[in-house]
Amino acid sequence: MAGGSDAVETTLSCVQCGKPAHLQCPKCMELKLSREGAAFCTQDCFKASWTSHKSVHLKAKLSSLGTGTPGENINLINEGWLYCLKKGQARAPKLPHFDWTGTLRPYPISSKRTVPAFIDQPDWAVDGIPKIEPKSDWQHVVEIKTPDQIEKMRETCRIARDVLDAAARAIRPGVTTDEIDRVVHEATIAAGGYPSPLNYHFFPKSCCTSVNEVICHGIPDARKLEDGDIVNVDVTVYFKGVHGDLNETFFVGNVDESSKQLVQCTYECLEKAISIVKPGVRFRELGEVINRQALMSGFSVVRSYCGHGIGELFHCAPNIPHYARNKAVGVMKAGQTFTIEPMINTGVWRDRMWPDGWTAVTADGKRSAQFEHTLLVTETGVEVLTARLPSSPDVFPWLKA
Amino acid sequence: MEEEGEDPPLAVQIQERDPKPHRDNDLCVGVTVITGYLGAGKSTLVNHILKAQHGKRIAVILNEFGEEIGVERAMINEGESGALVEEWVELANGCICCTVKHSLVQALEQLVQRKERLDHILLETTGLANPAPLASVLWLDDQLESAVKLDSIITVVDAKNLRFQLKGNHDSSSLTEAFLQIAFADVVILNKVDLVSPEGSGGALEELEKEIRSINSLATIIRSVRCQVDLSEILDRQAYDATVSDRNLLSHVTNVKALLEESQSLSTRDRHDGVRTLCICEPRKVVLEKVRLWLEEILWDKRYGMDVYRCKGVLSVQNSDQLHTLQAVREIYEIVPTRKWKMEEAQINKIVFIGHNLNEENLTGSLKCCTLTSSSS
Repeated sequence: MAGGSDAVETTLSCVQCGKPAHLQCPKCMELKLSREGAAFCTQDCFKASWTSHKSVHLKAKLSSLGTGTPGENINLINEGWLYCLKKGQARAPKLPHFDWTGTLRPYPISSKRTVPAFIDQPDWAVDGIPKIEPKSDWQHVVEIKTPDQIEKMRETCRIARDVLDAAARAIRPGVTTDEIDRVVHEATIAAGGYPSPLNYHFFPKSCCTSVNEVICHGIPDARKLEDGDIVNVDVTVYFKGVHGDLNETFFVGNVDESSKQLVQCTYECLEKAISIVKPGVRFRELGEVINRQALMSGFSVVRSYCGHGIGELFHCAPNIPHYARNKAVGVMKAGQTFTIEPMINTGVWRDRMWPDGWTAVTADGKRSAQFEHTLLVTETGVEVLTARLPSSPDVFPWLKA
Repeated sequence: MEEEGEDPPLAVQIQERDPKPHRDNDLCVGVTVITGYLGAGKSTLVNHILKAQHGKRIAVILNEFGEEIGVERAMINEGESGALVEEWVELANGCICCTVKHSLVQALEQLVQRKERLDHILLETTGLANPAPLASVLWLDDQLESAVKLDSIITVVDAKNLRFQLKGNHDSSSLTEAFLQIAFADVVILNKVDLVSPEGSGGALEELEKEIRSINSLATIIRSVRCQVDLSEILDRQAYDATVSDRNLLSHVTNVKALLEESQSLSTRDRHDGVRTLCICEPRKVVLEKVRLWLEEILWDKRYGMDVYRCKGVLSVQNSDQLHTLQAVREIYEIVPTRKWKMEEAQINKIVFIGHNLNEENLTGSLKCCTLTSSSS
């Protein structure tokens, strides 16, 4: 068949000890739960983890009771929190029907946050529809930024970095993604910026929070982060007429070995890609580098979403696929600004869309991680505009000196 | 649920689950773009395809590509019974937002998923001068394993009015629609031939075909009356499928070369400061990386002031026993190794260019440079 998928069947890791696993919990199989939470290397490890493992069954059973709204959310519905539908253009009081790929479910979302009038807003802020962006010439030609634009982008990207760092500090078990969104929203406004995602094509919140099997564009909602989760927070700030975009995947409490490997590998994929950025390099090459790095660890690369040009527009040329053998057009030139944002999956590369029209999840329910930077091509190489600062929270174990 | 006991049940050996490829070729639906002047017969062609008793289930999308329309109208031919079912195909308006697939592609994929069986999709363009943007959107990377793929671009041409349309506005710098639509076509349906030569006798029609070929020698020309064409000639062309059409590509390109050599008397350089086809050859094996750079300079940097619309060829690559196919539409190109050269085949590079301001000498000369390895003099 054409194309040969790059998805490799990963070796599962034992939940208890991390060694390669070839046994799985039969109850999890019966409940059709994700294999990665049910894998063990020996019956002994299974036995040793049994007391804590069986809570997975209980949790799954509870969340699947009825197709309606889980009991815990009834109160929220009564307070006006609703489920998001139709890309953000509609709300519903009941959990929508879907053949969920993993254990995660959407939760109701809070009402729309407001932005003070004195803050400069992009043209979608009021009615949800970008007008300038779709028609712009910059969808077809890659803009070379002027020194003035570059200076503005440095500033905006710095703000975006600070906002993400604030979000990172708020992450711990028991905190809802809605709370993270509130932190992002308030930090952005405090800096005088507008949170670009808010109302972009009707997106209902100020950042994207993507938990576990969510690949990207997760909508912040009432779900509390749980010990063992991984969560990506994607922040974009609009300030002085330009956008700055970055994201990082964080650990919530203690995560399993597989998740640690996934997140670190994803970080390295981005790092590797950035390391080849300089004038004359083809955009197409980034996908080759990322793919090689991911495959080395047995992970797969998401193909439906790509990096993008950024500046006065949120999304513009070039399109940067993260997979190998892509036909991306163009070579890098000094003065270009764009993002690279690989999404790496534990299992298969395919994605599916939730009924809300935004949340992309892995087709097999296994976890996905992502990292993103906004980059400037310089005469000799690259400047990472959204780079970590000395003040950034120390949340990535592999970065410790 | 009953309380689970103190001891776990016996863990079960994991079966290595094989992630089944999401589509086999059956599920990958070809998309044919139909373009042409108003009145040439596009709608006639579409109706013919829909109504002909062929047992295929075909959807037609009427596309105002380039306009801000959220919903397109789709008509689906329900196969045997021939009944037409009209329904709306919703284009998720916009969110270009970091998705690889254009909203049109996503809409087509959703259509394929919704339907029990769809054999082909026709995209009828209206008011569109240049089919190239549509081709770029539909010519997806194989890696995406999409449920839809670009099958071919068909241009319907009005035999009666073609000459007039080609003469168009020579004084203006923009080429007439007719040139562009023919240049990007994989198939040209020369329609209304009965109006040009009712008995079917040659002269005038042959002249028209020569005109068309001088613009685009890669396209297949089909004569028709009221667009009554054989479906097997226009569906499942697989014109953008490198792996499938490799053998055809080699003979195709060779035929084009022969055609061009035959028509040397037609000095195409003077006839149209418009669009023409040329074919260059290079017997020595090329360095792949150099060819890429060469092609990118031509397609991306508009080297020598040339404007290339389409490009198709076979490459004979150094340090490889594989025949490589080359295909380009505007700036998008791909070079793919497809299969081993056969014993009886002459391993020669043959590349066909369709474009404006093409300079044969420059192209031949610069391709020659691609045969030099850095160590050779």
